[in-house]
Amino acid sequence: MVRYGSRTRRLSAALLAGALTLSLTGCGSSGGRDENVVTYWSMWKENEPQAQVLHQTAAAFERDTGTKVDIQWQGRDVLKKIVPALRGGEVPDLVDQDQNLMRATLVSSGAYRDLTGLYNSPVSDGRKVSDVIAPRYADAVKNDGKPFLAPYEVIGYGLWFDASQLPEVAAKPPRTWREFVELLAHRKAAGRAPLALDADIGQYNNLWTTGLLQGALGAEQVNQLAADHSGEAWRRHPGVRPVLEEIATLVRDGYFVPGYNGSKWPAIQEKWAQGEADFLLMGSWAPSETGAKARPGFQYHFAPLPTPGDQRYVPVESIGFAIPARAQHAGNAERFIAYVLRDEHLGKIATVAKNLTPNPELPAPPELTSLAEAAEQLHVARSEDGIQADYPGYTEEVLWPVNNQFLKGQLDIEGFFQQLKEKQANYWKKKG
Amino acid sequence: MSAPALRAARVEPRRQVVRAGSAFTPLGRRRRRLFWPFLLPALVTYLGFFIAPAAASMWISFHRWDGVGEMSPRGLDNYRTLLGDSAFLGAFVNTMIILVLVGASTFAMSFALTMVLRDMRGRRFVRAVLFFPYIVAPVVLSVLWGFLFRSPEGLFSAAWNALTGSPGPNWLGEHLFAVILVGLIWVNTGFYTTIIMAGVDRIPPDLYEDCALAGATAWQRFRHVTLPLSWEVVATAAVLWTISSLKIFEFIYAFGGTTNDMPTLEVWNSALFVYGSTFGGRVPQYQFGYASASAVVTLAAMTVLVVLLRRLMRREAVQF
Repeated sequence: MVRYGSRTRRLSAALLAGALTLSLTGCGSSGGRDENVVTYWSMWKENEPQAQVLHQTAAAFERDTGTKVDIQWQGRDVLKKIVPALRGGEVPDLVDQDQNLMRATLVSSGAYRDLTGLYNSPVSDGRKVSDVIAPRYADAVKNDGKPFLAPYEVIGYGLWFDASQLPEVAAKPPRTWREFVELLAHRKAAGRAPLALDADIGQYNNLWTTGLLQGALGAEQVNQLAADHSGEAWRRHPGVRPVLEEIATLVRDGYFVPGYNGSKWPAIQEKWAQGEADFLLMGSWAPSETGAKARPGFQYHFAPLPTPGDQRYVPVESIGFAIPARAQHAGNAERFIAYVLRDEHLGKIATVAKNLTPNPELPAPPELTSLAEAAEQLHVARSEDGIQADYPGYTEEVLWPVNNQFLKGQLDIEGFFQQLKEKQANYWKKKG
Repeated sequence: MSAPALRAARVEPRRQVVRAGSAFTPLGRRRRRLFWPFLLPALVTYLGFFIAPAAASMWISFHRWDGVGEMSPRGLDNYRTLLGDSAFLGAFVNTMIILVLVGASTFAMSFALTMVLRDMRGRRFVRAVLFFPYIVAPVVLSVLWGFLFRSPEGLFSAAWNALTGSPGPNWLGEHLFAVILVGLIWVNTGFYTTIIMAGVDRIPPDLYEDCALAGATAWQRFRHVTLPLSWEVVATAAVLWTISSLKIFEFIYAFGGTTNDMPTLEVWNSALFVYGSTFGGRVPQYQFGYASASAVVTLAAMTVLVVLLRRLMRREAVQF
């Protein structure tokens, strides 16, 4: 037994020495790094169409420039994985995510690279990056005038419906709230369920509330209401109550498909794709997400959400590249971004990944042409008025829980104001 | 209940002789030499992976920290804010409801099942079936439960409709937390039934025969034989439950949330609150100081509860 004890000690000493040696050599190898490389942590998973497009582009980039793009398919939580690294670990040269998350992570901690230089650099045919990214998207991804994101995909929000069932609506979509409500009443009278909504998803409920408020109050006004530390601003603003009354009417009069408030996502959007309801208020992933369940002959069509106000917006958000401030190969990363933005590569985001690009010159996929037109003609606003990006946690702890009950018909307008006030004051007291 | 059925508690007399393993014998010396090599790996692991992070959380809880920049000291401010934060207090109350309500129901169910299973044929099989929910991933279960309870077309809602002729409550829309509680009871009952049955199986059958001869009812059998003789096991299971109830996370998350979103605020427990304050949600808050404070408060409350529970459930061990 004694001998075993000393042997154990020797063994553990050897193991420890081995571990030390390994960690030392590990440190050594990271010292001499290859300069012709870009480390890219991607928000996509390898089997997603966007990943395939980016993977092919990276291969072409390596062929053309000799610079290897080392891609790690991290998935949607990519930025959560970067936070610990930002503190001192090795950061990638390139990351991508939507503008809200990027703002809340890289921008709020000041760990992003100012992409002004990139926006002035050439893409192809004498065009610069700032020429291929439409200003309406580029303007929304700046912090103190400095761009932090280079968008390559744009998500737009609005009403989706089947043009084969509603050809007259596709030809002449409702422009005013009155027209829209009349259309809904007409459809309901014909025995149809006019609106689809998976009401267990806070964001989907809020697309209604914030979407309508944006039109009535103007862009960035809901954002201002959310910034009020007392939480009273919602009740005090004269424009809010009339909009809430319109929503309460939709709920009370049963315009939402039966079961919308007791289901589990994606049950209702699948019902909609099966033709059991007319309109779905959602982002431009609707066609790709519901496509597999859609009834044969379903023609996806988009219409901007009419609102009780004077203005109509298309809420949008961009997905794009950002470069951490401490990236070791920021120059290579910028060259790769410019390369991705070339027509022949960016075009595949539309043709292969079936999404909208920030370059209005490129053709949109057929399902999204109506969205592309709307985004061109109308003003764009930030989705959910930017409250997710500007006030992290606000939607989860304040607006969604209250608005969910409101959209499910469990809370009246007075209750909405009261709960919102309490939760909002609580939120800001914490942040104070 | 007849007196002979219970045997008097017997305290083992202390031996006064020098044991073979005492420090003064050659075996004792060898044992002593082996003490540290055996202890060290576990100790280092425990210190490194449990004590150090707990201490770090404590330290971080006195700061404001986004995980990236420098920590700035806040003193007790995080704790003061917590006590007035309705989101945290709601989550804490939910944690307590889970602890007490789900705990009490689970133990009641487990005992009831134990009583039924004791005399049942094929009880090993039934026990395995009961245990099954515990080994299935909570995410799978919660998806299944979501399908069962959605209205109007969920299986449960449809059955309700068929029986009563009315559509019944909107389970997921209005009673989500209640459904989660029922789900947690269902998941945990199998596990605690297994533990309690293991304790009950050790009780000599002649005691029950004695009971039968004395004409004891089922309740008397339970009250005077089963419960006292499996008390140690129950006490340990109660502590196990207290600790594990604090850690319940994925069942609520998967049941109330989706791939992108946290569940709605009303069903958060403390674990979800910590996640929501740090990495959770569409756009995370990264409030590591504040979240650490909430974790420390919950841990402190749980420690007090476990100590109280141990005191409350302390009994002289019954030898049989």
